[in-house]
Amino acid sequence: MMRPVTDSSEPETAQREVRLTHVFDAPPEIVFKAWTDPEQVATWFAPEGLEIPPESVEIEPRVGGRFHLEMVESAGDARYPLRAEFLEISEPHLIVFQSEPMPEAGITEPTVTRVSFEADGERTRMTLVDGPYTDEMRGNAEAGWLSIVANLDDLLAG
Amino acid sequence: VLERAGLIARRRAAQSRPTSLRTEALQEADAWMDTYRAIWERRIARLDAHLDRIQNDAAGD
Repeated sequence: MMRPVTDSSEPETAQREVRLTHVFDAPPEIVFKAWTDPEQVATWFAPEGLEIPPESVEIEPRVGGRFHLEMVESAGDARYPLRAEFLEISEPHLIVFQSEPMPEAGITEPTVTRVSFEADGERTRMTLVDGPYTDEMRGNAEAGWLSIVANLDDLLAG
Repeated sequence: VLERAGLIARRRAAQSRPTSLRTEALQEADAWMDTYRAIWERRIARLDAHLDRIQNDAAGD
């Protein structure tokens, strides 16, 4: 599953992804539901400094269905929509959605987020892979609403 | 080996709550991606807290 850190056969156009695993103290059915229930998504999905109005969340948990929401600046009124479509969905094992580019977040090409849920006793091991982040996006990461998150980090660190 | 097993056991004991986030299999350290990664890490941390909350509510606390 893990790819080698260095691989001379990698294509020249480097593509990077975020890959995280986390074990939740809840069974897969509960964790999966937290990703597909609009009310729940509204409570945890927004980055710091942003909020998600519950009425902006639209989730159609089927292939081709929508995963739409709006993130609103807590200390302002700028709104940043997330528009995605489910490519795969299998309750309670797998969610794959493709997001439209978010130029205001420096993401200039569609990205795919793959989230898998694996039972571990009464717990759930979740693996998330998000990308690709291409060379074209390099330097964009401080753009737009990401700067809100970065600023907040500075505040917390200070 | 025993010593290493002990180390592992201590680490597990110190992590009785599954709140640690693990990053793995990144092709290289790309600082410019830290922001994107941090957003997902913190999202997952909030999801973890959210799940704790609803599980406690369900338990009737």
